Amino acid sequence: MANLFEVRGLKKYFPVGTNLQFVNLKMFHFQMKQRVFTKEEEWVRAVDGVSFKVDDREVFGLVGESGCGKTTIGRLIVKLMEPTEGDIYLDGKNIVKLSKNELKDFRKNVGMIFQDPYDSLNPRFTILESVKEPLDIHRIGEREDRIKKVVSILKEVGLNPEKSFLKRYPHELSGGQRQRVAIARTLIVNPKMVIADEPCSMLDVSIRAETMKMMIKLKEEFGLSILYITHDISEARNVTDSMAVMYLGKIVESGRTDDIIENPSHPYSKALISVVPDIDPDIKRGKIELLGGVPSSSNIPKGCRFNPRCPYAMDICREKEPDYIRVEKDHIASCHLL
Amino acid sequence: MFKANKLGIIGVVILLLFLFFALFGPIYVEMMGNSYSPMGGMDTSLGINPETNSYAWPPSLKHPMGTDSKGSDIFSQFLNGSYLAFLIGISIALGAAILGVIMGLISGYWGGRWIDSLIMRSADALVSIPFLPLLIVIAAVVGSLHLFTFIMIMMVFSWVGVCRVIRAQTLSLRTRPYIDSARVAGASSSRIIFKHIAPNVIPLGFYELTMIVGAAIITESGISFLGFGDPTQMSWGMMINFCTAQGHTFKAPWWLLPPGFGITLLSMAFYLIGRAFDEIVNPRLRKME
Amino acid sequence: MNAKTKILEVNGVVMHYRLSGGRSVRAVDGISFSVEEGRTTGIVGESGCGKSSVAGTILRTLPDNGEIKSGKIYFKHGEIAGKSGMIDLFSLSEEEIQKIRWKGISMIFQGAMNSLNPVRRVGDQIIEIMRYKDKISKEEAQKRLERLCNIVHIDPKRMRSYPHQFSGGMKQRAVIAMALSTDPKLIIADEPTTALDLITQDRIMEEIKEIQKELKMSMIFISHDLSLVSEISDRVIVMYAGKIVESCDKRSLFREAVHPYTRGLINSCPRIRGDKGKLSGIPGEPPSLSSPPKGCRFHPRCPYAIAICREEEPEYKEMGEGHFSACWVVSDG
Repeated sequence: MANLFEVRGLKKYFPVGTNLQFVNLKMFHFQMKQRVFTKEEEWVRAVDGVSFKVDDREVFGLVGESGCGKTTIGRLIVKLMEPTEGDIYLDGKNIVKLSKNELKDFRKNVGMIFQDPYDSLNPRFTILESVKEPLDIHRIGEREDRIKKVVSILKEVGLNPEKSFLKRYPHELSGGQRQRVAIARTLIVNPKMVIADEPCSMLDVSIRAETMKMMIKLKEEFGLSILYITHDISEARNVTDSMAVMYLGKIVESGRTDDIIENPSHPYSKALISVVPDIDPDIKRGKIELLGGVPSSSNIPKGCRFNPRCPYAMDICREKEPDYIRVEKDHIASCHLL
Repeated sequence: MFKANKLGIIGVVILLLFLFFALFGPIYVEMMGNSYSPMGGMDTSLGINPETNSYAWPPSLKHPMGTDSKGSDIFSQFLNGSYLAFLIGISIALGAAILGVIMGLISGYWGGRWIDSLIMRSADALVSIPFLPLLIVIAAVVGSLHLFTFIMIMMVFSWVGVCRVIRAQTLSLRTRPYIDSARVAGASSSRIIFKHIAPNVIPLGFYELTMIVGAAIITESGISFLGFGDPTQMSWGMMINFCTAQGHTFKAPWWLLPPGFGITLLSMAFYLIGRAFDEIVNPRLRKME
Repeated sequence: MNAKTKILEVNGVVMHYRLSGGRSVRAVDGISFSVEEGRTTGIVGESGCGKSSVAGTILRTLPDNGEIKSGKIYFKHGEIAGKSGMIDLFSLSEEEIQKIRWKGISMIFQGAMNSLNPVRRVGDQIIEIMRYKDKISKEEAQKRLERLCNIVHIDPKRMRSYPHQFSGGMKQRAVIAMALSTDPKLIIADEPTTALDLITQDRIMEEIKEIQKELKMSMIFISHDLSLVSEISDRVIVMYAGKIVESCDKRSLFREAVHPYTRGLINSCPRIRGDKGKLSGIPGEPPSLSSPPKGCRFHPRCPYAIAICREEEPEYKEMGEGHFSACWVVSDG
């Protein structure tokens, strides 16, 4: 299968003390100029050299706890911010530096679904206006056609009866319905790739499964790839084809999802899997104890960044960062134990 | 909602009343003849009032609010003053609000960049200038302040407050996920500012506007009272100025009170409406669903 | 039933939030359950099912518009309020129930980490509660604090720090310590681990289990996460739209749950172990609590709904030993 999308050596550093809220708005242009005076250690290394590939029609998961950099990667890919270093390829073309026209074109090809269904739709826009907006922006079709397109996409995302939703406002809809509207809005321009940033974490459990199923169905129908960002590894297991486990800005393990779940090779992945509670009371899960808490991304440990918490840490782990070892076909992990 | 707010209703009622006064003025003069004109009209037919030693008479059937020392009908002046108060208040407020909202949107949206610094430092500079003394100095230098000049100057000084508030609102709105969503969909900055942020910010701008109207009316009255106002316009402030200048402060309360009440009530009306509006604006912002 | 004593018995409790215009949100609409001494009863349900309101109803810490309409809540340790034996909490005056709060029944709130006073040292906040409730000396409180630190695994020296110097996990432990500080008989924990990362969540859950065993504490554990509830509780109660739809011990929950909603919920949980299985959600949306559907509240979303489900509310009754449910389809055989 063709490689639709690739990330190579992606890095994103923020100066310590940046108000991360304003980062995506290039506010830290000012602060970047201070770089000359800032020491190497005073950077928040949110994304610290990440590489992965996503195939056509694949759901690729980015899994990790909060602060591991997965959300930042999502935002880098949709160009809500610029990387410090590294390349991003969509269909073979490097999208890091784009002209204004190319950028507008790019926006048609990569969409994003946000975590908070309660705040990702403009509360003053009707559903029709929200879903129609991408068509207006890219001037697709004539006025009448646009409304028809909206109706048809609302049907695809399972909002029935479609016409009744057009004039309603977000606050009249439930969380699950709003997320469907967000998905409709993203898909109406037929993108090649969709970044889903924790799309289900604010939804009720029973709605999550429906939403996930719908996303997979639409992926097939529309022939797109999904980068699925989540902290819930069981969710990733059920919805992704391949995935990468992230820790403190780097990928520690990646490969086919089934391989990783069955045969986790990195101690962090193992721990992450072992802590997921199970509804079956008879299942005994082998618990892996991790020492300490997640360190701050501005103070990344020397050597393997996981070493302070790793129950198997050896001397070499404190000195040198491990390379990526191939565990099996399409399955790599970075650990000195391998 | 808005209708349920009693203070707001009182404000609206008073506003409508004074609006009626403002519009009724010219009709009244039409009805009663030129001697009732607010500027220059005189009715000496009553003769000199021994108690005031001038043509100032207390209210009567012929002159519902009495006459001033020159024999001019006070009711007519009062109506004219109402018209001027609206004119001054609303034009200043509108100008300041529009300017303030646009500046606030630009400044807030590009917060942290050079344009924001430029606008904010200009605003700071303006605020640091003592406004009233400046006005007085200009009036002294130029002679007296033409109304248009006054309106322009007040506009220039009033937009700052609006701008700051709108900027703060914009700064907080621009980090909301739906703004990111618009950007990812390909929306240009102008589209985001005018279609996404502005509608959420306009209610606040409107609130600021109502507050400015009251301030503008009072300021103009103060300037006129001090003698720096436009002598060709018989505003309420001017009426008070003339009354005291002619020494009739205690002799002719019917001359002093109508403009005084007018200033107070109309500013209060705008304030009440603004307050009631605030209650709509805030819960809207707070409510997420 | 075995001879375990009940520390709390909730009987037909109805609590509504009054809204403007005469409407009300029927948040808790007739629920009955009990908590055995030294055991954990878990309450699970999705947003809007009323589970968080249950805690407020027990402790009567509801907002102004919360009205207790009917029912009784029997608590075993009436002596704390100056009465004897099993007392109905609803019959207590405000003064009396104030005595029960934190001494008889303690609570760990949702997002409690953010409810630590940011300008006071953590240790001081805990000591303050102890001294207010138990009228003990400073030295005595200090000693108790050290003991608590051991229980919740916080270094006693850290008690002199301020909340912002604590990590998320430590803050939550501090909040747990606070809840334990007055030796309560019953703890209500409402989503105590939601804001924590998974690894810390696991650790805290382990610690809670340890503490419970050591202190022989009774607990009510409220969460939307079925697997969490299932792991820590002895008994599980499933709530939907203000009502209890099923109640059984944790083993029966997974193996023999009967109510369609419970089954739907179980099938909605993505599993990390065992079969990948078919992940299926529940179509539709939870109903509005101010105007719930006629008959069984779940019927609009139930794949097995029959005519009577649309008309009459099913009776909550015993289906098997200690296993209760409210469903027409199931109770018919």
